[in-house]
Amino acid sequence: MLVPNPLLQSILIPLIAAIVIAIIGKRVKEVAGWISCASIVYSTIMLILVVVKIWIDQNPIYEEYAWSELAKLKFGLLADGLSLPVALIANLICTACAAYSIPYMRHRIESIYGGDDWGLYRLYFALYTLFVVGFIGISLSTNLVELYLFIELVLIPSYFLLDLFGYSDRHRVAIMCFIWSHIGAALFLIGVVLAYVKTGSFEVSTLSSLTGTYAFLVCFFILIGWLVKTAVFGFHVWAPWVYAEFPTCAAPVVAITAGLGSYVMVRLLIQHMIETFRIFSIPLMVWAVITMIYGAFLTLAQDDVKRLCACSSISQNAYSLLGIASCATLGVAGGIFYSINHLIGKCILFSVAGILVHQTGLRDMRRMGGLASRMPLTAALFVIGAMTLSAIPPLSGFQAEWIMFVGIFRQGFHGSTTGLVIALIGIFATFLTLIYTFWPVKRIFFGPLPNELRNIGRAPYIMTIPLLILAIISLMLGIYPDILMRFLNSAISASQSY
Amino acid sequence: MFTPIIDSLFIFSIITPIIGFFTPKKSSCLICGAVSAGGYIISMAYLLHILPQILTSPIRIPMETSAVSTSIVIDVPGSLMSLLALALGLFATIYSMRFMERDSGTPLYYSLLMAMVTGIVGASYSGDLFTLFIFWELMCITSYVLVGFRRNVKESVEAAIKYMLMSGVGSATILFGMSLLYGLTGTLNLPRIALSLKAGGEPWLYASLGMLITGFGIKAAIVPLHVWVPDAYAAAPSPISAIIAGASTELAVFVICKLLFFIFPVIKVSWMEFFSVFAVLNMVLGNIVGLLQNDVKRMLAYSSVAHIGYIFIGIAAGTKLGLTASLLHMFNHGLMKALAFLCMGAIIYRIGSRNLEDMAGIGRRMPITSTAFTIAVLGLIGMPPLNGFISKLLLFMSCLDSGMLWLGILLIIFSAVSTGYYIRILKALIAAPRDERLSDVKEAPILILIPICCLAFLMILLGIWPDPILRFAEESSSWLMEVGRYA
Amino acid sequence: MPSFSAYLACAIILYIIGLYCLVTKRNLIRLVMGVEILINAAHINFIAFSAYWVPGFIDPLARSIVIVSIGLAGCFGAVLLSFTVYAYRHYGTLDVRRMRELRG
Repeated sequence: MLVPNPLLQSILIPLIAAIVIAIIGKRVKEVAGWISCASIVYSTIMLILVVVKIWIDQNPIYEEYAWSELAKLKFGLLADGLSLPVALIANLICTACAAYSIPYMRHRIESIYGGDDWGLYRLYFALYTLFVVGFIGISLSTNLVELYLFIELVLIPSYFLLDLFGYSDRHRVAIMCFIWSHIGAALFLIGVVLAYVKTGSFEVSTLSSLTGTYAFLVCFFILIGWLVKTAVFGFHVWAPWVYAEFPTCAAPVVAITAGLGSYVMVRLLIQHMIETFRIFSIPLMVWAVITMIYGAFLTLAQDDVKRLCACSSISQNAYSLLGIASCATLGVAGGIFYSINHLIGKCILFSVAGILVHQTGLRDMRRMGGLASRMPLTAALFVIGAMTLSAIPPLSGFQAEWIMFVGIFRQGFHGSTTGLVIALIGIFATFLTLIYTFWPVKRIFFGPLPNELRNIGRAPYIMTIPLLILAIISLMLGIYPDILMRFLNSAISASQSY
Repeated sequence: MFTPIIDSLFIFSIITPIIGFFTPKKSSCLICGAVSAGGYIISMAYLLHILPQILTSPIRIPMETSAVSTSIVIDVPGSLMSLLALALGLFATIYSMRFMERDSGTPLYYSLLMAMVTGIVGASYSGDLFTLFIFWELMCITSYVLVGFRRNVKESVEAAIKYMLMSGVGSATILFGMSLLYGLTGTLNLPRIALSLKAGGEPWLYASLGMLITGFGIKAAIVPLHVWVPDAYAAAPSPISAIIAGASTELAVFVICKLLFFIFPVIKVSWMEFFSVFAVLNMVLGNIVGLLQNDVKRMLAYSSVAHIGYIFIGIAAGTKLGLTASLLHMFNHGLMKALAFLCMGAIIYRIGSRNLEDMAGIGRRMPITSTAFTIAVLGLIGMPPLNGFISKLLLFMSCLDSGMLWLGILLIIFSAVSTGYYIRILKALIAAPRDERLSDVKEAPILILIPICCLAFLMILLGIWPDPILRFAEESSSWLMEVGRYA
Repeated sequence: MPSFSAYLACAIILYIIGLYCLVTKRNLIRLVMGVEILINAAHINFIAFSAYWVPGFIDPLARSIVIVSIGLAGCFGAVLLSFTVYAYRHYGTLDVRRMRELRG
């Protein structure tokens, strides 16, 4: 191995950087953002090195560190075909957003506080870097308590970021975010401890030894906890508020938290508790379809560009849920692929919304129009993002949905007819996605240009270049999906029957 | 006399006012503080020195051979409690060197504080009900004076009187309960009582247990008897609130544990259910009334009541894991609550008000204090990288182990409810300051910051690396559950 | 000599009297006396029990506890009475029900 302990480094370096920025940031001012960005890039490089190694020899990498003997906790980091793509995408998106926030936060702090006397800039970046630590931790951890630790670790910066830098009514929304996320995490914790009492250990791998009603209870609690965090229909109340009022440069972070829900469900429930999870399969698929359609209709009703992205996230997360709930190998792999794809697309969309706010100061789409003539690159990026989410070839969305629906239909044919009906409704819902992503394109970028927006300049390159990179990744995955599927297949097919 | 641990505290508490008599009025606070801090350090150093020895067998300083006839047993559970008390005493003393500079009579303040810590240390080490009572009274009486230290302030006096009356009744009840125990067994030596209690004499045993728990429960803030807690914690000077909340209340719970597990295993089953009722009452009342407060110190007082409820869950479980979890949470809660009170005191020192609205936006002006306060609050909620999480997790696990799942779920639900008022504190810290009131507030002075930073650091350390303290708690619980090892 | 249980009954009655005093009286000084009565009830108990175990022999342990405890009760009373003086200075009355500044 070229570098010792790459996984631990990918967690530690951003953590150390966060502490360093918090302490000395006030003196270095603008450079704080670059330090944060550099540390995230470093951890991305570590993860890429691990990707290359696994690509070559197909063996997962496992690092283990002692944590607490008495409470039987081991700090383990596992990079295999499933966890690595998720961690890598989370990292890439965070890198893009970090670069994006450097100019954006300056503008934001000016507009809220009128000047930065108190070092808020460095506070933002110190807290933001903690997100990266949390996400990599959630993806790579092998121990349930460690997982819980990182889940709560992500909660703290999101509360502070919302309260300090959010938009209207941010104090109330911050408390809402904290309470909902905490409740989700607490339900998850109940499931974890129930599992511990039966199996005597917190390791993820021991979940397979649970049986019967006990396994049902554990599965139930873990599922409900994460469904709260993923904002399915019924638990979705917090989602439009939190996504929309989150500072736009960090809004994809909330989407990543929800997207990691798909990963955790696969890791815990499908890889280790598949028989119990099958009981939940049909109800969960029905719930996912309801959420998809509800989310789609909610999105169609929005005028605010950020709310639009927020409500569409509710719907898109339900897609991955549909794939995962089908319990078919391709369905699950497709579900994870789709959530990765959704993260890329959503990041592009949110960032474009942020560019719009940065350049025009507007969020209401009714007052926008014809901006393609002033900001052609931004318009192109938005269209690419929309294409990714609506599953139009040659971008990755198409591949993801194709794989996912093949899996679901196969399961529908082998299983009950309800499965088939659900799959058909699912396809219908994807048409709704097409509508609600392309209609804003027309509203924002085409049509007559209002007078007050005649002199809008182009977005700064530092904001558009990261998005361009993400778009290229989406294109790559669309043309050659095997890069990703090779990883996912090897990890998931081990525990499947078809 | 006794052991060097207690001796050094006694000697220094006598020396300090004498030195204070000779120093000029201006700097008497600082110098006396430094002198008494020395006493704590010597005591802690000796305790840490003999710690490895205690783990194998307790050191007994029996009645007959010591100069003063008491029975002190330096054992592991007592060391857990006394380590907490000594550490908090040291931090409170360093803190008071700056905090109490505007008050008069500070040399005696340090002396009283040291005597109070002596009482806590002695009570945790007592091997004998008589010794326990003497040191308990020492702690109580000095704490009465300390709560009402600012006697020119109306509310201090009122709080002190309420506290004294209730606690005095508590002491009398304890004495009565002890006399009943003496009547049943003819001795006051704890292990000997345990060994000579027969199954007969049941009603008197229940009566004695009831009186002892009521008496110690007044100090331990069990629910119907907790009414003195918000007033006393709020009106006392902040370092005193920190010590009372962090050490004295925990001591009361510790003594209840000790008595229950030493003397009353005979009637084990009934008190387990009883304690789960106490636990639920405490959690419900502490969390719900805490939501209604605007005075931060009262809020923290009600949160103490709630945390005592959590500790009782572990006792109600009745297993070794439950007792370990309770002892661990006692220690952790002591640290967290003391940190919270000290930070609040630093804020009061600068802005002069205890109200939540007046505090809005203080985070910008006092960043270090606010960060430490945030760490304390996050620990009290039970967030993972801090020590509060580990002990709450263990409490939950112990509930499941002994089959009381409903109690565990209540624990998690009420922890989530408690975030409601802890968040208000966090919000007040990070909000934007509303007007110019806070524009000339500076960061707290360095002597106040040192204990705050040390406690915050300890909390993070124990959260990331819980092993040493976990082993300590486990050893303590195994000693507490087997009385036979002491005889 | 009255039988042993008479002493026990006496102690319990004193305890109840003490509690009654604390619950019903309003004057601070009477409350102080109430606590003292409670403590003395326990003392009687100790002394009674000390003679019970071995007839003719009195356990010195109980007696020493009582003496120390009387001393401690004296300290307690002194502290409480000095605070009573301050309370009188602040509130102008010794009526406990008037002292209600702290609430909640």
